[in-house]
Amino acid sequence: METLSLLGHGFSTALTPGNLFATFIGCLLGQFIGILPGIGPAAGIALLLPITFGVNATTALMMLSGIMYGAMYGGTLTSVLINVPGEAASVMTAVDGYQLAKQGRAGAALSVAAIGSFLAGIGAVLLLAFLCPLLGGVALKFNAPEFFLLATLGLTMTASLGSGSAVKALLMAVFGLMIALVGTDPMVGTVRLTFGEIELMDGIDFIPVAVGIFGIGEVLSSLEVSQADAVPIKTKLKDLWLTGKDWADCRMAILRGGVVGFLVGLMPGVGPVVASMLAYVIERRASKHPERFGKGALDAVAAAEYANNSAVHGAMVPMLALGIPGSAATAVLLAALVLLGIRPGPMLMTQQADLVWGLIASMLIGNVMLIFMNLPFAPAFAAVLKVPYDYLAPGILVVSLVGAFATTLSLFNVGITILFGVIGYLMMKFNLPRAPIVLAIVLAPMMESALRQSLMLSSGSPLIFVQRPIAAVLLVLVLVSLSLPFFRRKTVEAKGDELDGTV
Amino acid sequence: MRVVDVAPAAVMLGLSAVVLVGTRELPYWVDFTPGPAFLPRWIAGAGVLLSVILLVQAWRAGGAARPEWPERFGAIRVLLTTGGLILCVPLAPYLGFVATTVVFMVAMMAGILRRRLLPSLITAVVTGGLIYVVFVWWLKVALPFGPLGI
Repeated sequence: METLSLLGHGFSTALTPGNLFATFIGCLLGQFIGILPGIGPAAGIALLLPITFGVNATTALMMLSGIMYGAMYGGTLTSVLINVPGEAASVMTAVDGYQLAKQGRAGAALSVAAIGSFLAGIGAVLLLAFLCPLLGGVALKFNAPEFFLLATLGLTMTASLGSGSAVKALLMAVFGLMIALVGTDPMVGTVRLTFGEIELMDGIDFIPVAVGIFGIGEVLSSLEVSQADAVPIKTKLKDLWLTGKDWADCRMAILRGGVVGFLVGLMPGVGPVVASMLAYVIERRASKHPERFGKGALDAVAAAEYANNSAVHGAMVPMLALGIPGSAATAVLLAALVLLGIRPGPMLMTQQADLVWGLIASMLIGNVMLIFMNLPFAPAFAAVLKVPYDYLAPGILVVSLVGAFATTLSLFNVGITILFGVIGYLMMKFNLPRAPIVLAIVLAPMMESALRQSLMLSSGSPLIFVQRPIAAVLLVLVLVSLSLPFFRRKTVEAKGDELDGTV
Repeated sequence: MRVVDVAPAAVMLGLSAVVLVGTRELPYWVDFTPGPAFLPRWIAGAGVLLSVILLVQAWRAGGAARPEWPERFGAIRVLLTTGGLILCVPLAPYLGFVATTVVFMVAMMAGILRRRLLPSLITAVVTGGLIYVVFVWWLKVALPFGPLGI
């Protein structure tokens, strides 16, 4: 009951004209960012962060989070209509969505994705509203050792549960930690790893790294191949209507995708990309017609879309309740909170109740706005796809530079952004995951302070991490997450041996 | 050996060495508390360990997997764009930030991406105008000005 009353209070904050406008603008910008290939929600939030300077933190956060979940809706359009995922979490949508579009069922794919995203979003936000206070209550018992291990768990889970090489993911997390070391020691103020460069005394700012790696790096990569002007498959308003059979085919995918997405989103460091892939695989295994997957299965689109939107909202739970980002986009949101003068952590829910509950209410409102934007106006947004990418790419690059300058008014930061743009491009060439870097930079200050405080409390003894019950559990989870990739590989090798034996 | 694995491992070994050398004069422990060099050394150690694991994996996997570099024209597009971005930094204080971005966009669209000049000019001017309105007029961000006042 208390949660409902807090949520009601949140609506009174979210429904003010200024906050409604901010939510709308955030959702609209997120929709466009989702449509634009070469820029995802993490880079979009980082790029647009400067336009929130001068507004209060609650309004700013409503707009920035609107960009995050709005991008999930927008990414569907490009996936279905031109087979180019607008952002990474829409990759699985493209697999079957484009096939459906080629069969003349683009409208059905867009419709099930939009309605699915709406239902998943509403469901996930309601779960978030009930889960956050519970988790926040547990987190009030946390002290320095628990925070250190929780932050470490966020990084190790990124490696073990993400796709690709776990060793490379951990190595990139270490790289992110090294970047965060540059500047001034947080506890004694000693200058560290600046090599005499005055501009580095304040450290390497988060925004240039995020904008460079995700924004400029992606655009450079897309410039490798001359982009043929995309011809999106035409879709009309009447095609958006779904039949009863469509709903019957998708109902279990809706449920499974939403649940999988929310649970995956809860895990620190994982995010909607993994959620949509996992939901797709689970749906294919559970489906009565798995042979249709990859050839235009509506339930495949439903599962992937429900999962990615559910995960995006689920990732807000550890961010709001514990101060640990659940994904790269929430990592940028967390950095935005710090820039806006808000201290994230378990106390956020009690000290900034207006902000948290206003944000949760705005997410409900934002999802309603997005379903109205996507269903009747999908053909209008699809028209954006006709703008050749060659005219969009330079704009994305210059906005990146301006955004990097605006955060610190320093051309040095612009140089850093370009450097990390090149690094991001090279990382894509060498199959190195980029999200761990961003997560590590956001978590590093908390990790270092918590670690050193813990060792101060225990006079240097590391046993503090096993003597406290919650810390011991977290330590076990860290060790499990580090060993998961090893067991996963052994399982894959064993299955390979079994198959060899049967042939 | 797999270049896609060896190169990142080598770079991270180098960075770990830089961190160790860069913090060698800082105290590791101060009385009862970890000092400024405590975490850097552990992070550098983790970097070395993970790099070695990656090198071992690359050696055991065998093969010579290399990055998929772009073809000649693609590489030229990437290199010229990067060069253009780098040039923006020293030019901005002289030409003005907004003017520099407009010049960059025209050069990129018409010169590098080979789009028609008129649409490129229009796109660049409109984008520059939007940047001016949003960042300079609305947000009052003190972008460097040039002789044209933008």
